[in-house]
Amino acid sequence: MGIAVIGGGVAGITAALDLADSGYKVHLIEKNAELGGKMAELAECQMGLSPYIARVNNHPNIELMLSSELESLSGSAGNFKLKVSDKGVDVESVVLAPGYDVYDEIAKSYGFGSPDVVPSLDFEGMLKGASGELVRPSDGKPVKRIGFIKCVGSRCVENKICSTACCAYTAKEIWELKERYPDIDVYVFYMDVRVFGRDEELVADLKDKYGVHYIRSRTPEVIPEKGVLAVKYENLEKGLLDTLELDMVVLAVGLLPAKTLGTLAEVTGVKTDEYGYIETSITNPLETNVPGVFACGAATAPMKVRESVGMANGAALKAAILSERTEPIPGQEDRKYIETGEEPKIGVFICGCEGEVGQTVDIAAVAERVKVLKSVELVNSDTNTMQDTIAAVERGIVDGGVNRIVFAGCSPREYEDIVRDACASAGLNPYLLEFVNIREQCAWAHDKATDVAYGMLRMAVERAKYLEDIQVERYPVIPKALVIGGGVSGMTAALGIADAGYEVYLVEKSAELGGGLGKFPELPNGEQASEPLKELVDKVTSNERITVYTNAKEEDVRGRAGSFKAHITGDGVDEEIGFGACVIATGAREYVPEGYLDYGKDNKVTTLSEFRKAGEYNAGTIAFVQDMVQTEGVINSKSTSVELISSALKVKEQNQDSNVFVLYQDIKTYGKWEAIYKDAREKGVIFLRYDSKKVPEFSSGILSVFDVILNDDVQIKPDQVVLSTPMMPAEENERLSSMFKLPLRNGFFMEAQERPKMVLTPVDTVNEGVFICGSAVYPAMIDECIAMSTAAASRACVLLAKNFLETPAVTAVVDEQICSGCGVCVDMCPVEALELSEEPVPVVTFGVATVTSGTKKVAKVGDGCIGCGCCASYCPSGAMSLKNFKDKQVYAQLDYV
Amino acid sequence: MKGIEQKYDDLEGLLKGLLERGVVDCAVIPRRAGKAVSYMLVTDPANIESPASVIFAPSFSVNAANLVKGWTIKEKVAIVAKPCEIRAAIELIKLKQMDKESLLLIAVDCAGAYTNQVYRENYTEIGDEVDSAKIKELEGKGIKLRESCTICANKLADVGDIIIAKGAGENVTVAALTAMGEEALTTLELPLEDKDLERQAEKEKIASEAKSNLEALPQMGSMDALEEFLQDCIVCKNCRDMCPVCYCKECFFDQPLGDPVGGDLLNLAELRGAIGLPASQLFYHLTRVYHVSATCVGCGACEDACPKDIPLTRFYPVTTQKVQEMFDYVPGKDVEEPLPFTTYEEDELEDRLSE
Repeated sequence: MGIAVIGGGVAGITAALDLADSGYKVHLIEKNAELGGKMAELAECQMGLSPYIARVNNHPNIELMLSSELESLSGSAGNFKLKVSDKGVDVESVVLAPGYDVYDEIAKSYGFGSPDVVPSLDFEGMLKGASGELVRPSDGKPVKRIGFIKCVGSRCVENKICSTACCAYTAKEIWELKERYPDIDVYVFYMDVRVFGRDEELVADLKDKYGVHYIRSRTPEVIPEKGVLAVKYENLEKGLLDTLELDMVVLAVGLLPAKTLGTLAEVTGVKTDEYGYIETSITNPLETNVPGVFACGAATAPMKVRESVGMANGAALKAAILSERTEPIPGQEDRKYIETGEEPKIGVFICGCEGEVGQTVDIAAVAERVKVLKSVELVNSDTNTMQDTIAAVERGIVDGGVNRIVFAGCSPREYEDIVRDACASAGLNPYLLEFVNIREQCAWAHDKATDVAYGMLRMAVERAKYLEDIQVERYPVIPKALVIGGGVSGMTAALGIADAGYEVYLVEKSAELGGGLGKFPELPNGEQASEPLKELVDKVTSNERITVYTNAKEEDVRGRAGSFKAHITGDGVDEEIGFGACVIATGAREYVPEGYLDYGKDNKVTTLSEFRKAGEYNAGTIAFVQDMVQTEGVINSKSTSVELISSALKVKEQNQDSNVFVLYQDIKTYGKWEAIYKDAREKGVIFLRYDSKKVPEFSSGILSVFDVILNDDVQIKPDQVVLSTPMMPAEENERLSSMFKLPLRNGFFMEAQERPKMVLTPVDTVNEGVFICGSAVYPAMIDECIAMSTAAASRACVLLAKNFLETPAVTAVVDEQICSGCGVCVDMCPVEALELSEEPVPVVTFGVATVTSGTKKVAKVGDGCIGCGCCASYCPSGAMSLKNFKDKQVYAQLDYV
Repeated sequence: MKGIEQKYDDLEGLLKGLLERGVVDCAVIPRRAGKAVSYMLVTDPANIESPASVIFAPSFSVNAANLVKGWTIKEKVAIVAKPCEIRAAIELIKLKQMDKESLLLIAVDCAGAYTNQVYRENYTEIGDEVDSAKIKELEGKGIKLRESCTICANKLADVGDIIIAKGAGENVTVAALTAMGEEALTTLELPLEDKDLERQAEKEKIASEAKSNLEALPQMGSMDALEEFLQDCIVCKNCRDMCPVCYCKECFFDQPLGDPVGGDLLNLAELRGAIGLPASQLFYHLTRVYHVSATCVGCGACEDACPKDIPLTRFYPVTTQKVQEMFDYVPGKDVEEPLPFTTYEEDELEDRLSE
């Protein structure tokens, strides 16, 4: 049996790959004829997603069912029977990832209908297609002033909740626009900027470096006039309605549940919530009401790619735990390579890329010219798809006797690994392959594409002559994991990994498990926090596969993905452990706002967590203050805003007549949490927005704040002031960062990022085998923590499912005879894989023996080299080189430019 | 900084004292042979005679740092040399070609130097030292400073462990810049007092003159111009051998890929139709300038070493200064300052990227 994944967008693809890579049979069901979903419509995103799509297309464990729809589902967890477009599919579990649709009933008041007013997805297309100037659709005149209006079709009557993704995607669109067209003036009309982490930095950059004007105004009105768009907005500085004339307006349109979700819910019996999204709970964010059916991505709530991918990783693990591993994991089979001998015999394989290359390149002519090159044994140019070309390569190796492969086709980002793998399974050392991108870098880009294609192949053939076998070692994977941090995230990750069948070491620095979850007595949904906490602790402590260390610390981490070692000391322990993967879940800590608004001096002033713990909500006048000034840590996130507003509501519930004020800069109640913000306003909580330049002051019992909407000073005489404090990174992050060589951002761990400003691997890090989750990444809410830590567990399990891993092939090597010992490479190495060793050198002079020996220094390459090539690119004498990129190989290629 | 006023005649005692009191095991100091000046490595203090007559001599023979490159033994050597030579030594410490603890670096004020040929031939007119007025006067007679010295902005001693700064007449100030320097002077039992040797105004004047001299040099605006400039190069690699900051144990251009001969030469000619000879002329210099771009101290040793009289100052220091400006890096200024390519900043050179 296996697992059905419904939806072939980014979430579905992610879940399918995690499962297939761990040896599960996956049926990936997509209603459209192509994979990629909404994300593939975004230029930058499509680039990022395409390697994943290529892997899905070529994965032996994935049965791809395109243009297919789920018609019925019966049975129960462990034994579901599905009917998919008339075909029967039996699975043990189901992952739902049907995605979202965009809001499409845009109001006329935005000037929609004018060709110069475009929704953001259309604008993305315009930008992608624009060569030269960016012009207005209406008259072809260059765009000089452009406006972006946020919250179109979200946070409104028709769609009450916040669509979460628009703030960040608008920022990315503007960034791309300003990078390409720095002279265009950009105006953004917004209510709150709801971004965090890297996106927060991007918005700051847009304001400061790119000169983008952020105008805080409720959604304005757009009136198309002769040749211009008149945008009417609230000018808060002047306190009046103002008009701005723009050439073009982009509408950041909100998200809705996928239109197909209703039918899908009916077929599967999965409940939806009042907004039409799949219903999940704050403590079980991946589970639906139907056991064995899991949900992820924007079908559960509006969200960004990062969260969507994280949920998909997590849902994959949940589904895997209910399923049986039946398939071999690709790359784990035994491999023997043919002896290649001295003489290079090169096979050249040109893929037509389904016509995309053939449109501009005369492939036959190129093949004719390549055929006569020295050492070229055979040229294949009759194949038009990747699958066919790969088959030809395999025949070439097995039957044609070639010992070097030149493969020309699309981008190596998508296919190099797949073709290398094909070489390896056909018996050729995979590093005897040279990949040439004649699609993006030639067919799409050049006028004389045929000549360029020949030139590129000529270079590749020359380089191929000098390619060398690279031997890699296989080492066994230790099927155990180390989880650092015993809070909700760490415990969830540990349980996930243990449930998948692996042993876990759970290391907690304090005396007890629990972490930050006990901070508030209640969760934002009103549930008692102690209940899920107790349940988790019980599950962890009673799980045979989990060893818990308290008052403990991990030190001296060594090794690489699949085979790490560390030393654990703690309560009655002092031992050496081995593990294949590690999950870091150190959480965050609260900032103590000593002295801020008289905190610590005046007992009227408390922090939010103190206030909630005390549980006394009967003050007559109470002021909550958010977004206090703080340079480190995270000032405000979704979790702080949600906690603050649910507390304000709590006060109102207990005592309707109390005066409740919230002083803030941005309320970040993303997604469905927007409802509590609205609720709080309706229940009479008074929101006062201040600016970072004029922060609230508290003296002699009076709290004064300059409200930017009233454009006036407001003075409150509160009985109680409650401070929502910034979340600070855990203290041990610094130590862990240097031990695991993981970068931090503002003290929080950074995820690996394959493309600029896009996160497709939210819990992976630059150090393979080390994963991050929960508030160690950013201050997260409990549901985010659970989803993220299940994701981290899932990623760890994908690795632990393998019997062995291979040492990296492309690494640095040093010629000790030539090395001058300057040590610059050691300083440059980003992963500290190099060291300088000192060796004695005898002195050769006669007579006096004042000096008998000197020393020389020599660089040594240790474990952990990631093959980045920094060292080799510096080394002036060429003592340091990178396998597969030896000077000789590169020069051979360059000589034929 | 701590220092002491001395007379020229006191310097002999000072340098001898370093050896006698075991502050250092040996010293590299200038020595005179008739009209000519070069260096010696001295262990016996008796061999040091009236150093004032030679340490200020405006003659450049070899960069002293190049002479002690590879000094990685624990025995300590004092180096008495011009600021550019001390700067080179500091770069070599960063490149681990010398051991910081084994060096006592003593920088001497410089007014600019003549090549050793010019110095020897015009010794009677030049003498044991010069100042800017004298340099002008000599220039009028056609006796010209080395071009690298005319564009050098760092002539006043302000690096190393100890500096010897010239005052009026036969006065000098000897001052310590580092703890090691101060310890050395203390061991000599010299009565040290606080000294201010910033000499900001003087430095600015030198820097502005250097800048205008640099701007007056002929510009090399194209690859063709560079090719013509290097046309006479015989790839003897003397410029490399005399360069203090070229430190490879085995130069790339002594390896087969960088030094093609015989069949490799013919193969290249076959490939390209024709290749210039000697082979790798342009490649050699472009590679070398890239390798020394951060560390070149502009001493001009390369130009002095060129047997074909190619004015290499117009290529090496002129190019490398621009790179160093970009990274806001002055080679040899501070031994603790990391080499620019070993540091990483997420945002750097952004204005250059947009150019």
